[in-house]
Amino acid sequence: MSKALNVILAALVILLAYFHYSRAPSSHTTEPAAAKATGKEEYVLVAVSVGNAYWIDARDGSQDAARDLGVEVQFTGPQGSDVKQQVDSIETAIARGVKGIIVVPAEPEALVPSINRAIEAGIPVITQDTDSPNSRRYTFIGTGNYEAGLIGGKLLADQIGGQGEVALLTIPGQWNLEERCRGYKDALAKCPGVKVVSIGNDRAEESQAAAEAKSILQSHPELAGFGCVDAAGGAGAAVAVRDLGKKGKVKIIAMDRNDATLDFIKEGFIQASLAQRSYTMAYLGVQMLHALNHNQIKMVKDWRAANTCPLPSTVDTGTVVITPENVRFFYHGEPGR
Amino acid sequence: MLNAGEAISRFVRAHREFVIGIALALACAGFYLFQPSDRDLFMTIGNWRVIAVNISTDALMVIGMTMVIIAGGFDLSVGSTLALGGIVTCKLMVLGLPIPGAIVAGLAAGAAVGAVNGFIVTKIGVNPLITTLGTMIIVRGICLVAVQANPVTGLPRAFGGIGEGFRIVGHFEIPYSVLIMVVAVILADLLLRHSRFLRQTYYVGGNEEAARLSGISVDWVRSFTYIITGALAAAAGIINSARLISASANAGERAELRVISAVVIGGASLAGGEGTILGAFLGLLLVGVIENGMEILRVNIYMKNVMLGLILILAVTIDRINVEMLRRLIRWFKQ
Repeated sequence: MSKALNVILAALVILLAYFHYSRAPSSHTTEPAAAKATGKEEYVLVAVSVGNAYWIDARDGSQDAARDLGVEVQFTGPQGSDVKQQVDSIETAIARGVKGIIVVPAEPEALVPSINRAIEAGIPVITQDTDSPNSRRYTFIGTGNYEAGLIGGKLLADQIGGQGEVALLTIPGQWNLEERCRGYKDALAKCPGVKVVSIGNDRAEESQAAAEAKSILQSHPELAGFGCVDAAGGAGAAVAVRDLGKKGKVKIIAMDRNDATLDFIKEGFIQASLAQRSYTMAYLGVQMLHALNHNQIKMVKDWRAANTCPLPSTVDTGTVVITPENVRFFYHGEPGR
Repeated sequence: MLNAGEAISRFVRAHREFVIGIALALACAGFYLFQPSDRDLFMTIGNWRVIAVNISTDALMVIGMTMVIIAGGFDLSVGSTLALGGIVTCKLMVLGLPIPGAIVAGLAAGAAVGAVNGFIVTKIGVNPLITTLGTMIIVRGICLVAVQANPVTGLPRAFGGIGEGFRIVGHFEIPYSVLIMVVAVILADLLLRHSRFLRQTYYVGGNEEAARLSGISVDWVRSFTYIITGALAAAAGIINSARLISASANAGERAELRVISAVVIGGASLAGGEGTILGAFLGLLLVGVIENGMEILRVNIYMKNVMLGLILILAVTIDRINVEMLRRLIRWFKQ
């Protein structure tokens, strides 16, 4: 037995040495080491469903702001929409002593305790995309989800001439999308000739969205339009419309600006997409947190002591409507990106 | 050399907890040494408190899952049951039921899901994977139907106190969720080692036919493991809700994958008959420490999954190391 232990110990020493020496030379080039050398301030962006292409813009915005200000922003959050994991990320960030937190609450109420804890620890918190109005967050930057739904509903009603059956594609149970659906329904309810006949589940994935849209089209052959409230719905509905040869007969209003959606706008399957200014949200968010930390907005001499915050209480970033006319400007991976 | 190889493989298999302990120590040493900041962020009381709270609800499910897997079963429905436990308890509290009553009802709902799993697996004889895949989807659906995707809020303040509260032990503030985890893990580990009834899970999982012939009520033992797991998942959901002061139908998403990974890393065999709760808990702790450490090392978020999957496979591979592999390795080195 002692022999076995010796072998294990020897293996451990070798492993440790290996890790030590294999990491050491590269430590001049890796990002964390750079931060160590310069002692950059650290911020964190706690998102939701982090695998979604929607976050490309927000990541770009936060990274550009980080570069401009000479700080670091880490992107993190749960794969799905489990708010408990967001709370975990915030608690980890507090323990690490980051300089500021931007959070995209998966549920407004559930994040109240942890947001307040961060504020009490002296870490400024901003909500993005979805608000947590009952928390002590300093500001909310985003598009009201309900308002975005209203605009989408209006666009859809216009596209189908205020007449006909429509279906919505969403992910049931995701709070911000439920809000957008509510907006859609309220806008469509203003047109007596429009009826919402089905609400499909696209499971945040284009192939699922296509399958769901196809079955909706089968059971509602007279369908005039799709309203899609998340990034996957638009391209999925477009695939269904293309496969069933209903181009032009079924209008689609999409959400967000991933390249697949943009292609379908260019080809005329999708009439319009509502893009949020998520780049702007994240860019401004980092800037505002930085400004707070460095007392750059001098509404009062010392905002912490005055127990007030110089930031606006909410910032509405509105929506951008992407149409075949302006679609070419919205592709990612353009020069300069 | 050959003898040493044999000894290593035997040692690794017989002392899984020890091996994970070494892996944990290595991981901690690594994160401590390589953390990017001059200030220590990893080995602080605050950070370990965060790690402990983060794994506290998963730990309860790990206890149940270990028993299920030892008895030769499998349970995918824990994440959904977690959501159900939280929703039942919170809904009833909002309707005016006192907190203890609502908690008991939530636990009962979880146990009921476990009982259904147990019944279908043992009496109807459907494969546990399929059974619990079905109940996982059904229970998640029930949660969504019950709340229509609207999180349950407006809970009594005292309930939130359970999630926020802590007890001072020595110089440390130990949050209730961590206290519950520690007590539950120690108690369950001792019971599984020493209680006559729970020891039967090993026989049932190891050789079902022999267990049956020796007079063990195989169906009851297996059903019991599912019922306990259901109740523990509901308990996790209730603690979760107390922490978040709300209950959502999305709670516990992907929890089943984290929990099953931890149990397998901890040395349980999916073939049944093998595993300990201490090992599974250490497996969970290892995963929790590595997730936390990657955050501190600022590992790209998309890279994290790759690492966690690798750890799972590595842990299982250690079991497979045998003399022949070592001999081949030596030959390869000699060339």
